[in-house]
Amino acid sequence: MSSKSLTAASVRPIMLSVLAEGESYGYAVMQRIHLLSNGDVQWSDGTLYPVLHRLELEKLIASRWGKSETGRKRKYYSLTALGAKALAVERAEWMKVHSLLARLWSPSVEPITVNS
Amino acid sequence: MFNLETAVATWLHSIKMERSLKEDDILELEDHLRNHIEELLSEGRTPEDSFREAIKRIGGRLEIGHAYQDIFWNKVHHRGSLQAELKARWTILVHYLKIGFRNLKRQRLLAGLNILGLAAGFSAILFIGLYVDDELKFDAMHEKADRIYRVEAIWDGDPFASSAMRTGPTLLRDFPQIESMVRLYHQEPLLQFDDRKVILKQAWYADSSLLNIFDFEVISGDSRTMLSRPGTIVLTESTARHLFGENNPLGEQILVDNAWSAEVTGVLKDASLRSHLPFEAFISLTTSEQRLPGDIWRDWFWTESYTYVLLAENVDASALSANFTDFEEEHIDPIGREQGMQYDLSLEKLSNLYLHSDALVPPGPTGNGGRIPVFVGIGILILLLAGFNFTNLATASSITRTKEIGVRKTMGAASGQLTGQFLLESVLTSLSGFLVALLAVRMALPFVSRIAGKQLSFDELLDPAYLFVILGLIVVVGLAAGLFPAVVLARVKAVSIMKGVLPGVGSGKTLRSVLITIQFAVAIVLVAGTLIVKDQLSFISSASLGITGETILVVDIGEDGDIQNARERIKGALMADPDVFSVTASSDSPGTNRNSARTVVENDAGEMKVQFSKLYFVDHDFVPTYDLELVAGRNFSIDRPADTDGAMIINERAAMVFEYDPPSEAIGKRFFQWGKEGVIVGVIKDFNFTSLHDRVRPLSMRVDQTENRHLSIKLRSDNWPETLARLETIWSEHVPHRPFDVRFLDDRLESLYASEIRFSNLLSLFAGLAILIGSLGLFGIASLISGQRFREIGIRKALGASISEIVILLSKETLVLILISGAIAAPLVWTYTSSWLENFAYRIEVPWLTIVGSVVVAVAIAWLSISHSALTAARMNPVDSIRNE
Repeated sequence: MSSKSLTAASVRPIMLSVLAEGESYGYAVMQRIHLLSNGDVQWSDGTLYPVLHRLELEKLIASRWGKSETGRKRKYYSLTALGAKALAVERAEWMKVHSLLARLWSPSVEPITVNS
Repeated sequence: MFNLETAVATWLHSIKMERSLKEDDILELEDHLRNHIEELLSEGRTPEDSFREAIKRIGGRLEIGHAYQDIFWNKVHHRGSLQAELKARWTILVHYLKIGFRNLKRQRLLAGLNILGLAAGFSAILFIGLYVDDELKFDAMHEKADRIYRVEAIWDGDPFASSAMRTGPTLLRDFPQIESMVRLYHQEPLLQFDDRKVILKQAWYADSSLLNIFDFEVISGDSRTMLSRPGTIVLTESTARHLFGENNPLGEQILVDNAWSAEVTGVLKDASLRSHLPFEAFISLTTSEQRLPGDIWRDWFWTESYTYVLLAENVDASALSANFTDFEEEHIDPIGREQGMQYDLSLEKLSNLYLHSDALVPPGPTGNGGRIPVFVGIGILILLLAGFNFTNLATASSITRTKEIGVRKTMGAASGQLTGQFLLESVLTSLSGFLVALLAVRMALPFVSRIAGKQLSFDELLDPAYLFVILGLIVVVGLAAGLFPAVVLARVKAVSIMKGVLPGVGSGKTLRSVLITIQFAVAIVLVAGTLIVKDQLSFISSASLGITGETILVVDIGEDGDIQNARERIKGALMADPDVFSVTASSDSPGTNRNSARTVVENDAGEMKVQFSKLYFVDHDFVPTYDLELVAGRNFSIDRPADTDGAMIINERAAMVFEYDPPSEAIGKRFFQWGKEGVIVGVIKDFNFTSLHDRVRPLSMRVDQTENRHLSIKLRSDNWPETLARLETIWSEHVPHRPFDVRFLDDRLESLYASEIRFSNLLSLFAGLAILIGSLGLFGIASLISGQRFREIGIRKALGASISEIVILLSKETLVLILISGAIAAPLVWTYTSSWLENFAYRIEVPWLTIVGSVVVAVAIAWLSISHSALTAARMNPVDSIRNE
């Protein structure tokens, strides 16, 4: 996860996928991503929030203000029906890319040759 | 010692500096940071270590700020709710307004001049708006307006609004496309109920279909039948009130022309002033079947009534009138060929009748559609001039604002903000100007209504559509006028102000000169144009008729049989008054032209030649009373009984038309006209018996004692009220039943030019406004500039310049500009007035002197506007100005 443009492209489906697991809040979402990527994420956590807000603006996720265990104000996010649809679309597209690359790179496939 | 809470608070404080973060965002980030720290602490890390790790992970202030900015809004998203945002903007607006008002207050003179100038401009456009709106709304009250057409007769290419009585019924019979028709025939009856009398000038015989076609508002009576029976009359509210007071007139009998009685069968609301067809009463046309000569109903060439048709739905009028050729061939042309006459029928749409019809002898007032763009143009031009003033004064006064601009810029104002401030101020000025204009229009409206010959209503301005346009106008004028100065001022570099390089007198000077030149060119065009229009009007309304001498009074006697019979006795009684020179009875007097008669005269070769000529029935005293000059032959003589039926006097024009040159050869030639025959006994010099728009037409005069409608009284008096009162007493002794309905001939003639007079009145008003705006602007600029050249003047004086030299120095440039304006304006005036004068058959030469005079006047006014400040500046003590530095 080093390329900046790849990061930018992938952050949306990643966020949506995390929230697809259930309602969550900013820190927990970030922690989950860090955990799954084995700490390979290069972004600063603060810069991920605008992405959440953007998704909210697009009505893909919804938010509400709640309380943390210690009584602090905390904002919770959850996936909307629209978000679930968008995630399905994103998922299909990423899977396409994934399978294409997987096939290209699997040893059973002939290397691409350039026509002479 | 590290304090976690202090550290977090400090971090929060720094993050709050980012304008792209809202309060909620900060709360969220705080929660995130604290979660992370708590987790790290729980892992056993030290508070300081945890904090450092957490803020490293969350990211730096700028990084976060940019992320919010880029990803979320793509621009700075202002902190706070919409409400807070609006409040903040409002605060800024109020601040701008406050400063704007303070500037206006501080520069009272300047603001006053700006506001006055703009007020003059807005007044012009408001007046013009009301005027044009009124013109365009003529005849718009009829629901079927788009299907109503007037049938017109085109004689030799000249369209006449009138047509023959037969036209309507025959068209209705032959063309199924025509749903209905109504004929109108003008009357001026004397109506009487008990002892109340009124002479109507606008009464019409009308078919019962009148109210089926036109939507005149019915107050009482049955609109379908009120004009069906013979002997019925429909009054307007005013006429009814005049005769019956508050009593119900329905069913009452009115005595008409002291001869027959008519039953009132309906009351209509008064005719709208916005109607091409004025009326005070309608009498059923069936009545006239008994009262008018039978010829009128049969003769295709007696075209003195008006015919309106209502077309069926979806009928194309031009397609319909294309079929008229066959119709004419069937009905009119055979008779025409026999009698040597011919005309074509055409249809003219109701909505065109007031503004866009050139038809001769219209039934009521007509406007001039071509003038509407002229007026609108003038209005826009004047508003533009007012805008120029604003631009000029603002650039000339910029020096007074430079310090403010310098300070503002130094304090961090962006040039856009400054432009905004200046534009707001100019819109504010524009608004103030508009409010003053509204007040002025409200106060001046009765006056303007009078000179425009209209009843303009202020309420029209309150129409939402209008308000919208007006609001737009205020903003556009404000922005347009303020744009140049705002941009120039806002671009001034703070550094150059600090260095003392000021955009004072020099900045925008070229623009200013151009604008002043345009202003005065427009003003000169308007002033010279107005003067020339007025010249022409006084030319045509004075000696030009060819009628000279004493004042002539014209008494309208209608078709009053009692007066006809007592004519000689009444004439004698009037003649007995010492102020009266002579009295004559006639069917017409100059200014009216009722009869157009088919006239047959033998030419030199002995052939009978047919021509149309106007026909006046007169008595023996007509020629001397009107001082008509006989170029050949003699006047009718009371001593020759044969003159009564068998003599005719024609004018030179008629002699020419019948091919007699010199005219004296026409004497003794035979004529036939309207069933009479005889010989021509005299030829009079042409005099203008109709409007001077037209060339003099052929005129014939015959003696007929039964056709008189006017008594003309020639008199001389030093005391008109007394003379008139005496004549009225004589009148009421001899004609007790009829009011003394009298007008001066001059007034009658003047009313022929009512439209021109109104045009010239309005032009004067606009010329005045244009001059006012121009001189206000000059006055302001002069005072600003002489203020800015304070030191220069002081030094010049100290070095020995005289007052006059300084005044010349200060006024020279402006006066040169005005002369340039004159040079631009003169050819324009020449072109426009020449083409306007083309409308008149008799006209003045375009007077160069008037144009030059207007330029001189403009220079004089310009000099007056600047002389005050020039003189003040020149007279000051040089010590003051030099010490001032």
